[in-house]
Amino acid sequence: MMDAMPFVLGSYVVTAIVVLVEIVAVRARLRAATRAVAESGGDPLHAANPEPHR
Amino acid sequence: MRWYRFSSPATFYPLAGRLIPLFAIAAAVLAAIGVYVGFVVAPTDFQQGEVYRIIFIHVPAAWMSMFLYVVMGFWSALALGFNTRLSAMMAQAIAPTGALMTFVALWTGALWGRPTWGTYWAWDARMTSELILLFLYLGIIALRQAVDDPRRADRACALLALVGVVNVPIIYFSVTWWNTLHQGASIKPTGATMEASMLAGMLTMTFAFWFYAIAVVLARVRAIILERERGSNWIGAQAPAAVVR
Repeated sequence: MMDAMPFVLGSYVVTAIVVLVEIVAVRARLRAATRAVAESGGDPLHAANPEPHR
Repeated sequence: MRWYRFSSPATFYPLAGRLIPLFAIAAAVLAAIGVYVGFVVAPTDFQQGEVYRIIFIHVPAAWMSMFLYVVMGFWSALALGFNTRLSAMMAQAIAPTGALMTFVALWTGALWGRPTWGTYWAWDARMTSELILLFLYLGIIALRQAVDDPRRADRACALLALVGVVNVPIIYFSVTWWNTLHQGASIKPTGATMEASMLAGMLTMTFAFWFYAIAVVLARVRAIILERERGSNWIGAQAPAAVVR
């Protein structure tokens, strides 16, 4: 049997990195969307790429 | 309670904001407990040794990869059938997390396979169908990027997602339908063929992954709502106060 530790650690460390990257990416996206709304002053006419309201 | 009230982005946005911390904290606590049980409480496997401890993330990730696809298919069906904006946004928000879960399942499976089977990869039915699931997720994400009109992208992605649902039972039953290198299910309706603390650790990690997925999908759907609804009156009336709740 091969030494299991590199495989176990490789699994847990990569999973932790993937989860952290996703959390950072989602938080950045949410911040950017929030800033875009705030900068438009909430005025639909100033929104950069508004989607028609349905 | 009138649940359909939350089918509107305007009412769902603040609700999602309140739910995210609850699911995020629950996911963190359960993950800590699951890792403790998996590494400290659960005994060493008599056949596989220590490498079996990979299952505490491999199995929950694999289950989540399939479950999230079914949920994405559900929201896609609602989006197609009822033309509801929030359903399409939910489907859009689930795809990246589903892709990551599938990647984690494939990656940890490869690292489990090398010391156990002597190979990182084999073109067996379970692994190949799981790889197709990853391609489906990536295809849906790419298709959305390729279509400029969000509503047309919603319909195209919903169709692709619904067609891809057929792959989920193929993944699940692949170890039954074909002779595979991948082992069969250890948890069946008739009972589990594993030690109790191993099962407890795996189920705890499954709930941790589930709650994490809910939290991150809710956060992403809030961003999508802001991106796609920022020209609408409800954000116009409340911004920027609405976005910080």
